[in-house]
Amino acid sequence: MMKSNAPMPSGPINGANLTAETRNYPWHRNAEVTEFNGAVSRVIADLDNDREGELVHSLLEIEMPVGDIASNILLRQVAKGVLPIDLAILIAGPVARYIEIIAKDNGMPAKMDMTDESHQTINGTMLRAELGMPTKEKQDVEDQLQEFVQPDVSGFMSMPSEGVAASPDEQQMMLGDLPTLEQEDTL
Amino acid sequence: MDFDQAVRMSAGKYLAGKLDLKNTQGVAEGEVKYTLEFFDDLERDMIDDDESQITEVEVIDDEE
Repeated sequence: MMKSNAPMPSGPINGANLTAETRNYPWHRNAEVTEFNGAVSRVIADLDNDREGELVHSLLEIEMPVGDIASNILLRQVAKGVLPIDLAILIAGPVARYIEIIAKDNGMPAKMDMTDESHQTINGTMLRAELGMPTKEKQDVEDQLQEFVQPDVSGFMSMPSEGVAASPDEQQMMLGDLPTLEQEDTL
Repeated sequence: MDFDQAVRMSAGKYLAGKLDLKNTQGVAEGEVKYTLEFFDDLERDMIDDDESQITEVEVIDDEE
């Protein structure tokens, strides 16, 4: 076999994108909305929707900066294939302003600081607690309790589980070994 | 720069009235609908609506 003396390319190979397997993610397709006014209208309509609205309320209640809320909302829109990523960045201002109005209308604080220092990452436990969803730890405890409380559904002849079996005295009585009158008096 | 930073920068510029949208698709031909003034009016309307709802409830209470 002949060995090629051509140097290895330092950049992407031309046409590699046409042969590589690409998954069919929504953001790989053309976005649904591609113009500014339409994009803002779409996001505002989604924020007025119950599900998105609840999410925004919950994030405002945990006093998350409005910039971060807008970022999360817009990233969801990009992931769903509604907006292209550059347009999502362009409409961040109107979306942030609308979230501020929602906050003011509901008497909630709106942190409008747009500096990097204000950035706050979403903590899953925090969000679950605010949305009234059980946290993982709480869910584990509840599962354990459920197992403990669950009635014994095993068969009649199966081995009784620990703590369910009668005490040795009760077992003796069940076998006909009744206590004498003297023993009853002491009881 | 990541997406979060870009969003905060864009929002900061818009709120300061410094976001230039002249060459943005869908804006070049028409006007920007969602300006800062638009949202100021919207905010005023929403607050006015809330206040009028409160006074309506008060009127009903007075009649009772």
